[in-house]
Amino acid sequence: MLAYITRRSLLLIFVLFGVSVLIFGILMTFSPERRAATYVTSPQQAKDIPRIVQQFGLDDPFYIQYVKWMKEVFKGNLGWSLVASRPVAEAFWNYFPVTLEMNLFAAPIVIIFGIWLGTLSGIHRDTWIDHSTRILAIVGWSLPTFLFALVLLMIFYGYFQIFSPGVLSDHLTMFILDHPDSFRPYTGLYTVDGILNGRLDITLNALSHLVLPVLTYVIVVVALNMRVMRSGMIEELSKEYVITAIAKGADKKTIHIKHARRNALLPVITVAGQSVAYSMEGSVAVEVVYNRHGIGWWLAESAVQLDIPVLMCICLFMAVIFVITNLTLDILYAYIDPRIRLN
Amino acid sequence: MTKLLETVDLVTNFYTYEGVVKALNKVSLVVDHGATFGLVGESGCGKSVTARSIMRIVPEPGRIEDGKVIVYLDEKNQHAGIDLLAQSEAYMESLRGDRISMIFQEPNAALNPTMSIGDQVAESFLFHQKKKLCATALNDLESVTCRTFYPLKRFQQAVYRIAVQRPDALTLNILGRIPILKHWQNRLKNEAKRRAVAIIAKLGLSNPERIVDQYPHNLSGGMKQRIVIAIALACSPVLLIADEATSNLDVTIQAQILELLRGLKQEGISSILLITHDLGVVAETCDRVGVMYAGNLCEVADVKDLFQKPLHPYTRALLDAVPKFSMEDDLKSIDGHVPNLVMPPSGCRFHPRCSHAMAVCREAYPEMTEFGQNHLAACYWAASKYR
Amino acid sequence: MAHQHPRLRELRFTLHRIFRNPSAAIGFILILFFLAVAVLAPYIAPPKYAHNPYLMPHKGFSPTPKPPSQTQIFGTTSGQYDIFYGVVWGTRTAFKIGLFVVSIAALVGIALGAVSGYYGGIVDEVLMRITDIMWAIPTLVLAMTIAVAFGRGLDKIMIALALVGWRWYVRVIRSEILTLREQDFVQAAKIMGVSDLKIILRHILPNAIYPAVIMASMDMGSMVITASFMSFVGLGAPKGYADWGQMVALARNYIVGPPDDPLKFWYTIVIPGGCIVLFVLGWNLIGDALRDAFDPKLRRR
Repeated sequence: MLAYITRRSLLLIFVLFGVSVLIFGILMTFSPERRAATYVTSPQQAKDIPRIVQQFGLDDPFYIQYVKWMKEVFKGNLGWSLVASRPVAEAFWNYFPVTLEMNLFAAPIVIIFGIWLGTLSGIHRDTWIDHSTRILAIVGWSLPTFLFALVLLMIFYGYFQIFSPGVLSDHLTMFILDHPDSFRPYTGLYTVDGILNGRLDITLNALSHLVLPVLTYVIVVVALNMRVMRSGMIEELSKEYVITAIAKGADKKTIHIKHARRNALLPVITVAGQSVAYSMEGSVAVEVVYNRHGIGWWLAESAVQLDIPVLMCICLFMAVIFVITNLTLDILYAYIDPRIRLN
Repeated sequence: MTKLLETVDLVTNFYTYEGVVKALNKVSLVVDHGATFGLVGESGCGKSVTARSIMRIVPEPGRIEDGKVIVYLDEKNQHAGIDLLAQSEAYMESLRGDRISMIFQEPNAALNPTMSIGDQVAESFLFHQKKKLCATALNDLESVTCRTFYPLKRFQQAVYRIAVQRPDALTLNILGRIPILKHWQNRLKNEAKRRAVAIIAKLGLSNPERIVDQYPHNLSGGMKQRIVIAIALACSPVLLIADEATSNLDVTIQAQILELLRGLKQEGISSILLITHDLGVVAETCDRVGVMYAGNLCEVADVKDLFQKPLHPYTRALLDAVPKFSMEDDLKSIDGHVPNLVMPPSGCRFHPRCSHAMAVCREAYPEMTEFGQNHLAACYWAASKYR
Repeated sequence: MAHQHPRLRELRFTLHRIFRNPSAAIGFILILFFLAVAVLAPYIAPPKYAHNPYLMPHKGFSPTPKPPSQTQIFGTTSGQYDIFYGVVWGTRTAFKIGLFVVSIAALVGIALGAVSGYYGGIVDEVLMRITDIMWAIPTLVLAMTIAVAFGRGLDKIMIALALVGWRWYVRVIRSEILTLREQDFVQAAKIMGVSDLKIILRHILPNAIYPAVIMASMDMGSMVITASFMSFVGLGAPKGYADWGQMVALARNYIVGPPDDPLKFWYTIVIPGGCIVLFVLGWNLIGDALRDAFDPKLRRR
């Protein structure tokens, strides 16, 4: 088991290394001047970019530049963000809680609903439950996140005038900016900070701003989990051991829950894990449309404004998330599936 | 002899894309108390479907269309037959694995890969012997040697007193869902597991305490088949249906499993309905044999009669196709091929391949007729010749 | 039916299964409709600028959209671009994006997957590690990064998406081939001395291709979604280009109308947006029906 995890970890370190080379390679296509921004840490430094090109040897061969860049990354210096007008590393911790908050609310809903609906339609195959979840899944798949978000915004914000975009209503944002002493950002998640600071109105306000983003995200993502769970259930229910269980005298519920579902969950864990790893991708569209300044919004904005250091940072961050999720999945798998424990 | 199981004109169809597969065409057979009944035939002739129809576990898209499956659970009362096809699903659940159980062809697939062996065997006890288990657990609790934290002990005693009376009472159902409190079931589960260890040991597997904590992939094919048999025998059924139980095993393990089944018979545990395509196995283990062809039962006889004096041309052909020790002439095979059951041949389904086919064979299906003592066959030719 | 070539018989059976499914029929009708619109675009909406028909004609520069009228049956969006014209020519853009991205990604992915799965060894190892690396970054993020490196424009995001999209096909085809490679008919062909290329093309790919076909159908939709999102953000098609995503971007500031009529400009979002949804839905319905039809476990029912 330990050897297995070690081997996986080594592979994952290799993946991280490969991703950094890949991203660095892609962005080497920019002129040295543009890339100089990667090494800048303050507005003053931004003035002498030509000197930086010289100093950091941005005309050097690829591998020398890569090693230099990696050294800076390990020192915690990820460059200067034009969009955020502050160092990337610092800006990252500013944007990250917004994205995290949405995903913390959305992920459990996606996973629980996906498993529940999938089990249901797998058991009641080819009935109206199955057909309606199927239609839901296909429609969910076909809805572009950004478009769905726009339509929801049009209906709820435009027509009903509830659930405005943003992270927090303006007057509360102003209040927090004006009174940095009375409202301390312990976690950066407004819903949690509101409780910690004894300001339930802020928590509720933040929650109301989360309704539409979470709804959008859930409807678009739940489909995949649901379908995987459904086909897993159908596959498991057709297996021979289910017949053994029936011949043993097991009732339907025992067969579905105790026998089939546990085995059907295995592929769902992979998919759910991947959707966690890729949750940032869904966040981009949601954050852009709902104007929530999180990692996804930052990425889109940086792509438009050619903010290279940010792109590099986010790609690396994605890879780290991906790697960590995969490692967790491996361990989880070994825990659930006894067949893996030996090799 | 007293009847244990009787199927009357059993008809089962499969609704597939190609059309309706008429898998069983009026199959009527009788298995006696204490007997071993062998069902033989080529693959695809409907042996397994017969077994699964008896258990009412015909897989989709199959459907039992007509007929009766009557069991006489009480040996002494031959009037109290129960038609299984008329019973509720809940009744079948209580019967399956308790009074009638089944073992399967493929031991590697028949066990749940992610459930420990112990849990899988223990399930049988939990399904059918909950009351007994609760009673034992209650006895344990009330004995002097039981040393549990007193309030907990009182609580558990209270719960088990309800459980002994009514194992599926609503209160218990609710208690079983509340975290912490639901651990009252541990005693029940441990008791079931203890019994699982006992039955595994009885089937000749060494080190049963270790096996119960293992998973199917840890065991060999022969061991898995023993576990499958252990599951089937857990509640000492009156009828054990063995569906090609030895076909996929090595010859030596096959012999061991057959020996095991014979041993069980001697202990007087069950009647066995043995389904196989291997006539050798039939000759060694069975008392009575039924021969099936293309969804029809064509001959039923005591094992000696069948081998010495086969009546139906198909049975004869089948016996001729068995390699014999003194191989003087070539091995005979049966000409033609197994019919497509979507459009089975008219009349007797064997007539296109039968060397004795007569005009009447093409038109009407022959009825089962008795030829001598307990020897039945469905054939016009045999009727014209031997009666 | 018994005397037909087995592959032909199988195909007939598959087609029967596909069209038994009503969702497939709806999907095919949707896609055929869009295809007709794309082909007949010059007749349905005659281009105003002959040199670049993808440029939407506009009368004036007023940012406020105008509702449907006699001359502009779908109205105009912000900048007075004709929505009807944009939607019609946008169909062409969508097919262009989908077909280009999916065919390149599928070809590259299938070829690499076949080589990797069939030969194994060091080739497989290297290819799979490269795929592992590509796999670690989500499609949209990687595509955005590549698009940034290449510069803006629809052609750039098409290349970026193709560069990202192949990795799915590699894994799918490879795993199919790994199981097929060991099967008797392939071994038999090998012993008979059939060349590797011929084995792959004649014996392996026809049996391994179905998952890739299903995936390609689904990808047609998802790639168009990704491309339209990138256009929406501002990385793709330039302003005024007949692209659905770009048209949604134009309308973005008008999702909320004046207070007395908050849904006044609905047509600016709903018409191009509806086109995206229906286009993607069509492909997904086809993909879903294909999956059902090709699934060996669900067949023969």
